[in-house]
Amino acid sequence: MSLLHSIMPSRMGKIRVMVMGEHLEDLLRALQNLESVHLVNVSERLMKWESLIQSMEPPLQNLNKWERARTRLAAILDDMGLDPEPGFLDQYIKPLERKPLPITRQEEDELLKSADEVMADIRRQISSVVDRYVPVREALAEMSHHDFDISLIKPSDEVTIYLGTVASESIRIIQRDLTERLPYTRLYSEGKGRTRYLVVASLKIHEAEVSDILERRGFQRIPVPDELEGPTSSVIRWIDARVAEVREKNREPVYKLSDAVSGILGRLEAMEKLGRTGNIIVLEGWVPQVRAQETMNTVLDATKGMARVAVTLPDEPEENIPTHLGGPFSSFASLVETYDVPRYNEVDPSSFMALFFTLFVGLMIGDIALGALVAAAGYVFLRGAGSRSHGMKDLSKVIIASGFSSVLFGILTGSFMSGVLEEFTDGAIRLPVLWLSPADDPLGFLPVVLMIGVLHLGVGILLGLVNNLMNARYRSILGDQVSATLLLAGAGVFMVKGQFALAGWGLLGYGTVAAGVIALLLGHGPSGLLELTKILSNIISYIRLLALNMASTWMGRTFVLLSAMLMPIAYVGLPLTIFLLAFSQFFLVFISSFSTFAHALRLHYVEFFGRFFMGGGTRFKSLRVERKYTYVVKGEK
Amino acid sequence: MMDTATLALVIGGVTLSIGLAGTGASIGQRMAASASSLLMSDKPERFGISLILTVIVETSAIYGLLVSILILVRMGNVTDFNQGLAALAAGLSVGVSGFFTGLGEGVAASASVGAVAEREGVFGRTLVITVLPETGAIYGLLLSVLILSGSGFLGDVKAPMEQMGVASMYAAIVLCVTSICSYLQGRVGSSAITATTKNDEAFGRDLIFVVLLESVLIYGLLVSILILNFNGVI
Repeated sequence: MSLLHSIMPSRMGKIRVMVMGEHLEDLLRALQNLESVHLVNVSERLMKWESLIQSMEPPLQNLNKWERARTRLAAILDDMGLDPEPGFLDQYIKPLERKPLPITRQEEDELLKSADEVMADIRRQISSVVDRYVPVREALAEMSHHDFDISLIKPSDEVTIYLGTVASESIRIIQRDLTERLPYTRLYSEGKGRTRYLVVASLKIHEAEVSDILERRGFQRIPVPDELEGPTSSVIRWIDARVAEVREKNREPVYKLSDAVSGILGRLEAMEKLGRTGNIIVLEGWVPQVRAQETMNTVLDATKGMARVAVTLPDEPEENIPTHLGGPFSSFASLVETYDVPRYNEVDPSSFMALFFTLFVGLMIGDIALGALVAAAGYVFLRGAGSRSHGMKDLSKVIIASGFSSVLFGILTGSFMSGVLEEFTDGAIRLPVLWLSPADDPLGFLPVVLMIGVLHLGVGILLGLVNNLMNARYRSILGDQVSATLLLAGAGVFMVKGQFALAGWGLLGYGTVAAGVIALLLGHGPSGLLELTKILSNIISYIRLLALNMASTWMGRTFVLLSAMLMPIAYVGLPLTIFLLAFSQFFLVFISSFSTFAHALRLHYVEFFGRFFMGGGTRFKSLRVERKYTYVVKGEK
Repeated sequence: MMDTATLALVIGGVTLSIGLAGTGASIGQRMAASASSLLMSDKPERFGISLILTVIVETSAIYGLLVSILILVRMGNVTDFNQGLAALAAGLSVGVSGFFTGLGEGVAASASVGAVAEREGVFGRTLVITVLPETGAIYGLLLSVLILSGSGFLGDVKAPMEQMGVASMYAAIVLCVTSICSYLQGRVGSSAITATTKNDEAFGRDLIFVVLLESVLIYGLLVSILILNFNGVI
């Protein structure tokens, strides 16, 4: 049974808690930190007890207050540049510089109590520094190549100076209007793109007319504060220092408050799922059985024993139970969930996917140098994108595993940089082929990939059998699994016969296929015969493992051939050769990795999952705080 | 020394290989690039993603280029008219399949660019669907390499020359005809991408519909390999 459980989603227990109202906040907080409970809506289930147990509404005022706080904090983060969007490449390769800040529950409570004052104070600082100086700074930065004294763009007794932004298409119109009507006015524009910076100087006596012309063309004035003095370069430095000072001073409270507000909003939203009778709150949810005891202890600790808690075996239809894909291969679970969420009583294919996916990518890339580059790229992604999102962390681990698998198959097939050593040493150095070389012996490799396909499909059929047994769909077994097993076995017999020329195996093959056809007819009727073509195309589809390996190897070999042609050129031959070889490896990784990953996924989603996957489950979503900036200090529940 | 007719066939193989695959990839890339450049006016920050979706269409041209170079580099091995026929078959195989793949991937890639314009999070799913039509070009390349292996370009000639030339030609024709699936797959893929953008859960089922079309291509490849195998080419 434990073997069966190891390939199923986490077994769930139903957790029911009754707690005194005054301990609710503590309970929800502890559960948020534990991240083990998927709450269900009690009110929907307790209709017959409506007169006794009412659904619990979170205080609307509170909800609105903290929603507003979240919006204000997002604006503060944006205005202070505390959560900048990384560039396209940076988001994948650059590790997140911000380290999570430690926070205690007491600190969080204090911050939430004084949230309004904290935000108002930060907003004041933003107004006095960021709002006041940053627009001028941006304008000066655009004109900084002149490094003029800022007094030149300040008004004087006789002259009015306007600094601001305007749409690029309006500049010519403004210039025309000013030239026609006010000859003593000067205009200077700077910048690229649709919005340009504009400086207009006019005599004080024309101030009203100039303002009128500018306003009609959508000019947005940027006031230059009096205290700014000196050359633009030093003004920019001074503003940067002031902004950095404000940013540094407020970085920590803003980050901590943001996570605290996310937490309280999460708790308020969770309340909508609870029920209450008098001062007793009823909570119901799902917890992985392996975490049941820990969760019960946490409930009792958080409520100082003022709660009743029980975890029982599921007593509900399967569709009500959420699916939690965990285990040692959880990195591959996200690839499974990209396709669909398995049902609770369905096999979790993550571990099988981990094995076959890495095998397939390894077979398709199959080169020591390319594999090492793929693994290195995975490591860079793990440090970069992995520090930003859990999904990317999982994907990076998949890439690293695939890279190592490619190195292993590169060793087995004797492939290093598509035969560069052999080419440049005239065959003196040749890596030994420990197994088979797909590019040199495609026909020898063809039955291997077909057999791998048969094995993969065979595992899929076995998992389909488990699914049918788990869901008591015994009638489907004959038409789905028995027939497919016989057909696959028949195909396997023919492949073995073809490889080893065994006498009598032909008859065995035909007999097995015939038995499979009979099982199909019995299971699905005449329409079941379509399965024959399906299984045939499924098996042949695995030829892509060979084809992609050949594509990658021959592309690599062509680059090596071209590089060898460059080598004899005087002076530049060697550097050109090295450059082309290095370029070819990065190019191949880029081109091959997209294709191999997509086709390895496809072999799983279409051929493999098609044999057993039912899908349509509900993803397990634990009550938790999406902490972006902080972590709770250990021991704080 | 090669006669003129043989030379014409060999060079024909080179020309068809890169010419057809390159044309398909260019047309496909035009579709993806137009969609991407429209996206740039609204969401320039998605430049990287749209560039990947545009560049990926070029793969079939690279396969065409690869076969062209292989034929050119090894054309010194050619001594017989039937080897010329085999070179033409190899070029035709990767060229026509690459042409349809380029078109199919272009249609799917432009839909993917539209999808990521709406929602960046669907990039991974749309990429998988966009790459699916590439199966045609991959199989075309496989067949080309098998033909070149059995016709003295990349290995030894095993079959009688006449048989080798004719078998290679017909094997290529079978795959060329069935590779139209790749274009149709791209069309279905474009609808699937739209559906996935609206509803993440549709992805798995949509994928099945896109892949259904591929069965014919797989049968084509099987028959092509059997033609080569029964005639001793491989």
